[in-house]
Amino acid sequence: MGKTVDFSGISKLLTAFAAAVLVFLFTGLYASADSPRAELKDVEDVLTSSEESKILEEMEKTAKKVGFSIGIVITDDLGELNDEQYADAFGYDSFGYGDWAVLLLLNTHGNPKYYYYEDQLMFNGRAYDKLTDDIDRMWDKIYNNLGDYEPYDFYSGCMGYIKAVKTYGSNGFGAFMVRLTEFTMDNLPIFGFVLAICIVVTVSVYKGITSGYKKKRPISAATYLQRNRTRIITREDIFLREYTTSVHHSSSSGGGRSGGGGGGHHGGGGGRHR
Amino acid sequence: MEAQTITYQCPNCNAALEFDSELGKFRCYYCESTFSEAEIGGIFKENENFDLSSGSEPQLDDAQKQTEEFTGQSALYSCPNCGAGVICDSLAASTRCHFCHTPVILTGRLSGEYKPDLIIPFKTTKQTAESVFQKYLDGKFLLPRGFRQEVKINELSALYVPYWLKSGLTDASFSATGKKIRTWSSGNTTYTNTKLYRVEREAEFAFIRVPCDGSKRIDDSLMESIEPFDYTGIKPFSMSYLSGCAAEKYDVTKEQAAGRIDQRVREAAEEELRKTAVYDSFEGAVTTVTYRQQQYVYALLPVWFFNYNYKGKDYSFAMNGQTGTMFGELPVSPVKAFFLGAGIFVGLMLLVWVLLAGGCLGGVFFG
Repeated sequence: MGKTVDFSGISKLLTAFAAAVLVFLFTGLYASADSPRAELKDVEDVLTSSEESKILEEMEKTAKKVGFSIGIVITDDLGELNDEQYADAFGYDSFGYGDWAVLLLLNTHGNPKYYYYEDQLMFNGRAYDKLTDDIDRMWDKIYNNLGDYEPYDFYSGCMGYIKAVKTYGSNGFGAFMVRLTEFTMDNLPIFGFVLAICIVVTVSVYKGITSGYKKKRPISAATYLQRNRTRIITREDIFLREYTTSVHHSSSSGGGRSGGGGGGHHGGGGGRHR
Repeated sequence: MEAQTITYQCPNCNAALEFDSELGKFRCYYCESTFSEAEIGGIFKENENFDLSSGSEPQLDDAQKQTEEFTGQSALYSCPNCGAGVICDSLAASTRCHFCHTPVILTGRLSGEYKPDLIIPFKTTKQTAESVFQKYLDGKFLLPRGFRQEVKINELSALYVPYWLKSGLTDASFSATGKKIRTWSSGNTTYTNTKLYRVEREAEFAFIRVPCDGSKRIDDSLMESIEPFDYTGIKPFSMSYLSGCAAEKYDVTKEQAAGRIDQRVREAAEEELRKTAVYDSFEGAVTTVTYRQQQYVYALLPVWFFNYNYKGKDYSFAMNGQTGTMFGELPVSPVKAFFLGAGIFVGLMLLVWVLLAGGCLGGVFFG
């Protein structure tokens, strides 16, 4: 009787190996696609090498924390492109289409071809979802550090940008509190009003609860009225006089802000004095 | 001077009889015999007509006067069961011997002008009152820690409270300036039109047995909180109902009680007359009530009482011994109260503010 070889064990082993390779490749690709990166391009050489390395280090840390790529480009040469097109092109070249990223373009001189020269924030993917509500605050953080007049502090401006991305792009209690505090500071009068309402409601609720600790409701002597023997003898309502008062309300236009831009993925340009 | 007493004894075994509110009969807790009101009335007929006030006033010497002054504040009686000399306060009309716990009625306290006309017997038991109190405590999370353990609910006592009940046919009048207010807007202007009327109302009201407690040491508003009593259950007074319960004689005269009753009647009459005049508001309202006929009766009405002291402050619990309507006061822990208030405030504030912040916070946790 010939000896038979059982290949079932080997085939199982091969299948498992193939699966492991596929999983490795897939997770590798996925990790590669999703791995947040940092890209800093200082064309104008406005940053020292030590500043560049510090900014890059901070960008990498922040990118890992927020889960999307971060880029900064400082240039005066936009080629044939305007600010927006340049930011788009740089962002897609650096991080790829469909990837999650945020990019800051600091346009130092502008393109003489165009009349308007603006800095740009470009968002893509998840970065857009996370940061779109905070574009104004991000610009505030950038320009508060960059300064309003030359010479600009590019290092601080970049760090302000990174901090803004970290603050508004992060999740968790810390980010929540930062946002809540900023919202409160921006809406102090409304906060005062809500505070007053909450105090009134708290006192009412508290009194309602503690009233259950003293059940004392004297009843009316009307309980002892013999209803069938009640007789109304006089019922007179004599008209005396009437008067009318009027209050005129002066019309005032309502406040409010005009709506923001449409569905673009640009944060609009930040203006700087030149 | 020693007070005269009665103890209703079981005709079968001579043990003390007590009124069983659940059974509605008199019961001997020794031989378990029960007796109806009519049976007891027949057996102890002479007790019901007991009247100490009919005799002439004796001449008193100084020693006797001092004794009288003392007995004015308290009463000394000999327990018919064990013979012990027991002192009770000046208002008690029914009590128990402190030594053998035998129910004793101090007949002198309920004779003459102090003899009640009517009585409503207890219909609720001590167990019912205890469970009502326990239920009242349920869910009260602001109670101080250890309060339930400290409070001894078994000290709940049944008391027949002296009441003045006033009935009367009244003429009531109400006059005021009534306002009807209409508001509307046109463009940027809001107009308010006010019409004034002279409002006159007169009516005849019949009030039946408006109660006022006849005891100075019992809070009127407390007693008014456990009203009303169901007068269909009222009966001619019989001392036998007091057996086993504490009872007091009045120390508020009917003239004194009338002040409180008339005030309540006036408020009720005004309330009724206002209902017939539909106005947005009244000014210069004047209400008068005059009695065409009036009648007072003196009655003993059943109340379960429980007074307790917690951290130096007195609290009361009272329950209508007939209907079960209750009044209660409970202490609140200041620490728990603070945390409750702070919790409500912070929670509410956070909720409202976070909702308002809305988009600003969007996705901060889950985005």
